[in-house]
Amino acid sequence: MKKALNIITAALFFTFVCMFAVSTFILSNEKPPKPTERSFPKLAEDYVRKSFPLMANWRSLYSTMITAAGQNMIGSVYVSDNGLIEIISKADDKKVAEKVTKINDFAARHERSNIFVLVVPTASGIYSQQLPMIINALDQQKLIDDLYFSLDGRIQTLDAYNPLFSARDDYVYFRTDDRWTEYGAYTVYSKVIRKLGFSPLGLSSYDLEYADRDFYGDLYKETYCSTVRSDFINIFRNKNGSFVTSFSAISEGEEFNSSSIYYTPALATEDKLDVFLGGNSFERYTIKTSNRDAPRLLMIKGRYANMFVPFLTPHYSEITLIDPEQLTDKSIEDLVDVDSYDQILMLYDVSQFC
Amino acid sequence: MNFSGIVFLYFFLPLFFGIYAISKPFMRAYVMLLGSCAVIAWESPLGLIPFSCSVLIAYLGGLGCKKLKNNKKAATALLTVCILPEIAVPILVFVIGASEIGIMTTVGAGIYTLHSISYCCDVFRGECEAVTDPLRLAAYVSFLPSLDGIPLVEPKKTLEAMKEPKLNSEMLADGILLMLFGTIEKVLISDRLAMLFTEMQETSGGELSMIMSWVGAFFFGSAMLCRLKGYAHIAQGFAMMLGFDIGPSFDYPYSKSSLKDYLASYNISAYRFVQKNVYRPIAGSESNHARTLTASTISIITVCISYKPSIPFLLWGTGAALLITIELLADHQLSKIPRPVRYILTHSLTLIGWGIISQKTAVASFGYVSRMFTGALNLDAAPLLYFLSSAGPFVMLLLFFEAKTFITMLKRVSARKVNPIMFIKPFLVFALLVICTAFLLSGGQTASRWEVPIG
Repeated sequence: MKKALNIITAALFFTFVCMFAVSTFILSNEKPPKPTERSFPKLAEDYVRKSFPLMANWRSLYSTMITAAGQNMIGSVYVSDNGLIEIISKADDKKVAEKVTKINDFAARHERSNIFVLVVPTASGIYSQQLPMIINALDQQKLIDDLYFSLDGRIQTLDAYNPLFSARDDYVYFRTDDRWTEYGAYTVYSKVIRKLGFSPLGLSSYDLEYADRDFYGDLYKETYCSTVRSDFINIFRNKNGSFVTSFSAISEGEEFNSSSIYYTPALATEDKLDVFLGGNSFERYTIKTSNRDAPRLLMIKGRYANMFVPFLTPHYSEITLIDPEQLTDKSIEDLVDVDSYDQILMLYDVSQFC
Repeated sequence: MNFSGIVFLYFFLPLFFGIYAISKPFMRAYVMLLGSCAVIAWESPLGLIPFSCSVLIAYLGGLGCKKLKNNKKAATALLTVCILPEIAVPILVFVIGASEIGIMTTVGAGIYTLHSISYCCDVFRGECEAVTDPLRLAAYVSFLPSLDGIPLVEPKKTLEAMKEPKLNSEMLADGILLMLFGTIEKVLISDRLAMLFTEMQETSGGELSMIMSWVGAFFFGSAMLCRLKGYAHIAQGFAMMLGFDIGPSFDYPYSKSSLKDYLASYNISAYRFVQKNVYRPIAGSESNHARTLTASTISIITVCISYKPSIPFLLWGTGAALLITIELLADHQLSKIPRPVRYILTHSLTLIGWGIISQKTAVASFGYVSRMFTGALNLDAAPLLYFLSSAGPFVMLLLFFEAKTFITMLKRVSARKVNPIMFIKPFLVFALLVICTAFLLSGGQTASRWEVPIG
């Protein structure tokens, strides 16, 4: 009896282990690393982590056990009652200096252009006072102030911190993603648009469309924390109809054309937030509107820009967005004639400096 | 390859064990050697160079000592020649730092160096026969289950068992259980406590209050104990699976009430190694008090810096040696102190020790220890409560496993005619495997933030 139970124990262990080990290779879409590659052990471990069967379930089990034990930090993500917050604890001074230099150099090259910079805080900055005092979250307001202070005097700065902080009790950040919501973007738009020379459209000018009521973002996919409610993806539709006449996005010579800036098929995919401008994988986006006499805007975009752009379309005849992250060996000047634009807006979020 | 990692548990272990189990018993030592080479070469194939050198030194040293057994002087000189290149590596690490000497500090370097020395010394003393088969010796020197740094195994017993290791179902099942239990200790308790200690230091900006310094030292010490215990259990379990009984490496250090007993119960194999190869040769057979104290001082310092050759560990070792010397000299007076008081005193002193080695430099160590006595007296209620409540479940688990009564109870239950543990073993293995997998796949990023120095 004892021997039989011992054999069952060992057999159970090896069956389970072998089953998962074999499935890792069979079910994986990833290409296994070659032993000749540099840092092979790390690559192999990463491959296993990415390809291991039922990964979401393992992560969910881990999160459940950790939160049940009273822990509320999973990696760098804080689990609060209201959602998941990625904690940014410090800025990368080198990155900040590099980015400031790049912005100042760009401004020096285009002296006659109207350049605006908008740095958006992340949820960690807005909700830092609600986090346990032991969690060392970066003072993002100070970082943004310091950053603005280091910019060339010709560059006009826009404040996103205060509007978002004032609206912090509203749905301005996703509960399961590290980006802001459409409403968060609207909150900032309604305050900064005056500095760009326009009057904001009131909330009453929009119809709210619930594009998706069951959205789980990147932070959820990092933690699989089951205690957090799903998010909504809202689309603000202008009551007077869309101003957009054409939308095109280019990446590595391939062009994507549409008459809408909302790419609704993305709602059926893993990355539902790609519904805004088709995602972040393009190097250049061009939006043309029916406001023929309105100014033209060039936007140097970060990940937060996609939700912000829909609110700008009633004010411009053309909006061109360039994503510097997607430019490998090209410069912004290679893609567009910068000086031909009436305004240039650089939109970053704090995580790009950390 | 980390033995508490997903690659080891799901890929290396079944593949290696499959080959090992189907090999003929006399071939198993060679399969083990192949496994060790794979583990060493996994991080860097160049790591096989110092390993081969170590084996060669041990092999030639062993044969030489055997030949010169009638010429003590020549044998001593040969032993010295064999030991010097082996201890050169840790000395170099101490002097110029691990990163500067590259391949010399690869996986298992600590363990095969000490195994080589142990073997040469035992052959020199005539306690072990010189091995003529260099591959079997290489299998002992790199003893696969110990490659994560702990424990050291006896040459005579292990070499004997390596001739024809036999597998049996009970050792296999118990080994699996123990290995998974060790992994849990490492990934669940040690990693979380270590992370809390790191958070504690980061949030305070290096200015911990007095109470927080003591709590931090406890977190660090517990994390280190759990990590070493975890590795030791993984090694012991893995060895049992392969048919070797290497015994436990810890004897409930938290239950000891004297520093000497604490040290002897903490990483028993390292203590034994130092006792046999450092203490006895220096102390000699005569009862010379000064020589005995010198021997114990050098032995304790050796044990301490064997974890990591660095200044904080040297300070820790020196402090421990001093305190244990005082304890030995004042044994009569100390025995009059009530046991609970002595217990508190002993563990307060060990916490100071943890405070010293929790830092990377001597200055930081002094800073930490000084904060333990002169830090701000504020109670830090909010952070203290946060850390205590966060660590609570893990500390409870640790203390539960550290309590002798738990193991005694288990042993009593196991000794009964109808042993319930026997029936729950398959479910226990399954549950532990599921928990281990969840933590190994998801908790990696937290573990990598912090490394406890060992071996």
